[in-house]
Amino acid sequence: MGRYVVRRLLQFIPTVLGTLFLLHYLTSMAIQFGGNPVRSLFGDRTPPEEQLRQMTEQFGLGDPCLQQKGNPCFGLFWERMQDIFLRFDFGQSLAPRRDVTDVLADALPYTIKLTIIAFIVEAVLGLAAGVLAGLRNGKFSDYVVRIVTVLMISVPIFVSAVLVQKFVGVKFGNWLRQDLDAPEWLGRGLFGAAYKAEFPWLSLILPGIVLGMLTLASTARLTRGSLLENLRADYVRTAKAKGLTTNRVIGVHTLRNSLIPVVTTLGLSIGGYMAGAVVTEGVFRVPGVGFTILKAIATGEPMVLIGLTTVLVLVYLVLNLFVDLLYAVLDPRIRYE
Amino acid sequence: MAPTTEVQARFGPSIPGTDPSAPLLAVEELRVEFRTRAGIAKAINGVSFEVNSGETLAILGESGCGKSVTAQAIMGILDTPPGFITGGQIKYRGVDVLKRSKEERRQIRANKIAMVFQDALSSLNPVFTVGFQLAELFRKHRGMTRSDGKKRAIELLDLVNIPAARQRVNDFPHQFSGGMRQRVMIAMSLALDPELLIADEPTTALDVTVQAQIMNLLADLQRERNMGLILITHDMGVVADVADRINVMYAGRIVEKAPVFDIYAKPSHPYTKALLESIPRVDLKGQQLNVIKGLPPNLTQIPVGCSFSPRCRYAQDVCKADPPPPLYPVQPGISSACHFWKEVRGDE
Repeated sequence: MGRYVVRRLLQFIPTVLGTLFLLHYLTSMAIQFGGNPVRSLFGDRTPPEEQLRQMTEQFGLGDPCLQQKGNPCFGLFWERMQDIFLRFDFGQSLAPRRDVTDVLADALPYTIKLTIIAFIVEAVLGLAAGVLAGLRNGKFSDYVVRIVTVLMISVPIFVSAVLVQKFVGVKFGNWLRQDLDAPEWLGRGLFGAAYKAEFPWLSLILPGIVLGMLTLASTARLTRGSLLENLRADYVRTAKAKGLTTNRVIGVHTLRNSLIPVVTTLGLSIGGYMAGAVVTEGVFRVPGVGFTILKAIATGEPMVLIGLTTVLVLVYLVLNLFVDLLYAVLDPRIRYE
Repeated sequence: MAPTTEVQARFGPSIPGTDPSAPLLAVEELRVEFRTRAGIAKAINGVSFEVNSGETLAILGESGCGKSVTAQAIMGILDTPPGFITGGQIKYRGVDVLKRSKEERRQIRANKIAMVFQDALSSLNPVFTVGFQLAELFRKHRGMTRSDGKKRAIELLDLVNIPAARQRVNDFPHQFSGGMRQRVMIAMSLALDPELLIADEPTTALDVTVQAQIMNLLADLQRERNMGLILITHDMGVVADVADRINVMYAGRIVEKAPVFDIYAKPSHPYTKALLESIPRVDLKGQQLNVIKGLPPNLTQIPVGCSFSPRCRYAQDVCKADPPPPLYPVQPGISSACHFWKEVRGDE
């Protein structure tokens, strides 16, 4: 087990370096083809040559390779990796000029809150719907779950986020706020059209539901399928033959086995939320990691982009490893050597 | 449910209305059908037999003849739907269990009638230790604590000759060999001292040498405890040493009943005879194996008349036209569902 963990941790290195190099190359090309982003800090004024050169150097963008179109800038990449992983220096953002670590520290709590809400929505509703559909296979409630989940899976998140915002946040919210004179927390918090700093949890519930919806549907379907498969298993028949109550046959002998694959997807979806909240955070204007990344792309902030993505990649990889180890705990047949 | 009295804690629940002098198990005119999209498959069409304490009844037949379905119907673990019991009675000590509540049927399972399944690897739960799965029976049926249950689990593993039971009780099923797994399965079925044990092809998944060990273990335990044993198999070799009586099944009907010796010496039904002839024989080496030509009937379209008639070399027009032959008494203890049993036996 220990050796397996070490080997997996070593495998992180090429994955992280590969991802970051890709990102580094893309942002470098943006500079090579689009021009020095530091110049934009001066607006329509033309900065003195000497001052511009100095500032560009300060932001770590002074390397001459950034003026050669297509140059992969290996030297710069190597320097950046040393800065990040040896000196924990993630660089600075351009405007406002701040340490990227501070930018991250500001954004992360929102994304974590959003992830928690989305995960609860996914785990509770997804499992409940899946178990219900599995146990009532072929009945009305099974069809309802199957049809609703297909709809949820087929609507992309940028559509569902905008639709929910428009119809729940704006139309329903306006009706609450104006016609019903609903209390602040309800009208502006829970059913607000965007994130409000006064309601740090309440106003994240709607975006959290939107974010959790997609994985909720696949979790429900996976749970249903896995449960149906295990209900037919020989050992469930044995459990019945042992004269156990139906609750125990299903609750202990069937569910324990059915939930092994579900736990895997649940674990991986946390990583997905952390990274994939870009759209949801963008639509609902939640100042989290995704929204910050979106802004960094729009304004061309290479260091913010690289810094935040590094953290996301690491979170995703660690969660992935954690899920794999959890798998071995849940299923004794699996042993990592 | 926690046991309510001292007696119940030790001996399990008592089923009201049972008569200790009645036969241990009597199945009468049992009918089971499977309602599927392809149609209604009549899996069991009027099967009757009796088992008493200390007696071994073998139910012999090829795949799909309804032997396992019979066992599942007796245990009450038939998957409904698609399986439905459409007629007949299953009497445990004189009580028709089909008329009893679900709760009472659950109490009968494992306490009174227990079952050993064919493939022990898939029949044991892969994510729980063997000890947990054994102790569970004592905890849930006898209200024992975890530690007491585990002690009993170790005793049971000892009983079925598993070496180092104290350590192995914490192992998972996949850590056992095939034969050992089947021993665990047997231990599990014997946990609550059932009066009747149904063994559904207990040796099919095992090596020949291990088969003999398992059969001997089953036979010894049955003798010690004076249990009734229903042995379901398609292997005529397995049956010969252990069984007292044999019921041969074909297409959901019992076609011949006889003591084990008589079946081998003088079969009274063409199907039994053909089965015996198709056993490979060492003294006929190098010759073509005898096979029974054709296939068993599709259970959704069982022909009128005797269902074996299309494959039968004794068949005449009467077999195909008339309703299926009843079990004709041949001798005391022997009966055959064939109009021409005399010709089959060569008794003219």
